[in-house]
Amino acid sequence: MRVTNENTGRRSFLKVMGATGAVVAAAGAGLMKPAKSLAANFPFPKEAFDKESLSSAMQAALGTTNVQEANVSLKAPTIAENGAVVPITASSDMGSKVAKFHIFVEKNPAPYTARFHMLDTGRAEVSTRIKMGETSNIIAVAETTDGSFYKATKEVRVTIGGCGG
Amino acid sequence: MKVRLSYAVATFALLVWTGHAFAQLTGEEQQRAVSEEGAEAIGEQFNPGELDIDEGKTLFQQAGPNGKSCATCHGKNGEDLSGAATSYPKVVDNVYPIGSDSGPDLIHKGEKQGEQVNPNKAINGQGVRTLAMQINLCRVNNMDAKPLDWSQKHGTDMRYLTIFVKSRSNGQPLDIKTDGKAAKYWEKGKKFYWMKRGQLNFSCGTCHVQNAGMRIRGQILSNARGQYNKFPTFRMKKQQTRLMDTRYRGCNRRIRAHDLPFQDPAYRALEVYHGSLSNGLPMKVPGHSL
Amino acid sequence: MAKTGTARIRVGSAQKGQAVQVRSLILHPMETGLRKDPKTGKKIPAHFIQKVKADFNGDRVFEADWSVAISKNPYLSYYLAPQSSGTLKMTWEDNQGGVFTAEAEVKVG
Repeated sequence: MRVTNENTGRRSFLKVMGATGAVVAAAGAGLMKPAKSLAANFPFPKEAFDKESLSSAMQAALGTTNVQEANVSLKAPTIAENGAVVPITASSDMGSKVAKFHIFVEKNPAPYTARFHMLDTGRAEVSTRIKMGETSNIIAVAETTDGSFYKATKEVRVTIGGCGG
Repeated sequence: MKVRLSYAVATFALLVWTGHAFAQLTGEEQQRAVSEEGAEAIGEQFNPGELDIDEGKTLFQQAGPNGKSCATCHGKNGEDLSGAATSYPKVVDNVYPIGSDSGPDLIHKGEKQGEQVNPNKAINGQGVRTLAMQINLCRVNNMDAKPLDWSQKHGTDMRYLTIFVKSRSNGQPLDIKTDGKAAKYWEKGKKFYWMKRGQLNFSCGTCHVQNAGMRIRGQILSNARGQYNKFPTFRMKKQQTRLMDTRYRGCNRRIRAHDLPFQDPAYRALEVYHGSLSNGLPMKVPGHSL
Repeated sequence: MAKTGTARIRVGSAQKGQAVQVRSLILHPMETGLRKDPKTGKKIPAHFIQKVKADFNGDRVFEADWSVAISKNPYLSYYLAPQSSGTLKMTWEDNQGGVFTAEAEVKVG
């Protein structure tokens, strides 16, 4: 029975127990689903999302701040013409070994921005648009299935608009 | 001696530092007014403005008081309107024969943002008819419906309908007439476009022709050719689609000139000229911009 | 703009076993809770999508946890490697109890 490392605290404990109960019942009824579905519905990482410094956010999200800069690509504009919609793409050549991507924006009031669970996705690549308060480093961390972390960093400059208002 | 040397160093540093900023961007970057890297930011992958087309379709299919909807005459999904929007704005003999002749010329709706030419009052004689006016004429004459407001704030429905109607012509080349009757208004629009105005003493052409592709702080100035065929456009900054008039007003305010009311005759003439600059380019509504 | 919660999914044409891109967009204010209402001066309460789930033929293939720093009207793109045709269903859940869904047919050629 795979127990994720975020399961601390009473509420998570109850969730795990609940899940186990459901598994037992489902197995009994012969409705056992493949393992990957059971690993779904990850608890929302509220504590980590609330952390206000990059190091505390990384510590809460990953359990470490010491991450190798390798195996991950981060695509983001060098100059973001609009800080409210900065497009980013995190990808990795490690393919199905990537279990999750974590995105941090160093200078945002709360650096931990998003977490993506790559359960059965065919390619280790995810894109979205984020808000940036000011010029800052964006850090994309790939978490592998065996618990290792790798990252890529890119500085994105956020400027004042010109005439578009 | 010392002072002069430091001036020289400072000037040299300034030139070098700003040198790259004055490098003019060309082609695609200039057209869409955003760097190659930032293209995604303006929704090239998925433009939220496209959802407004669906809103417009709902309104298009909604029946008016006499039971008819736009779809009754123009096809359930506006099929009959394919190619129709490419020729707007048009110059016609009777601009806006609608409702009554009485009533104020402008309506304010309590705030400057709502200042617009009164959609309930007829405008007689020759002039420029925009697509928004045509939509209202159709509504009043064929559906017994009321004309819609056409300001940004109060004209949400007009915006959805305009986007829907224009999108039926997506991919087709813009073809605004500039000869015959239209020549006079084209000249008026051209004069407006090139006249310097406002505290900053800029004309439209100063930025969008003479300095197209250059950066103004963080943004790139878009080229005049390639603007009109994409309006109404989705502004990423506001996360909302904007009418052409809204942008004319905004541009005027930014150079610290007075903005005119929505559907003002000067803006309508400007639309003939400014629109014609993009003649031949395929329509792509709603467009993307920062 | 259309209603909050209106969502669209676009899937490219799929080949069996090959990765195909899924693009999604949902209209949502993604209010951070830090902005003040210009009229009242009071803080506008946080209203943002926290959870995104993607299920293909009933199996969870992708999941995301979002903070307030994801842009308004959030766009999300990821990949699928479908072995057969089926239905992709996405669910977005926000912090005020809003649950929004959208579906797309994926045809594997």
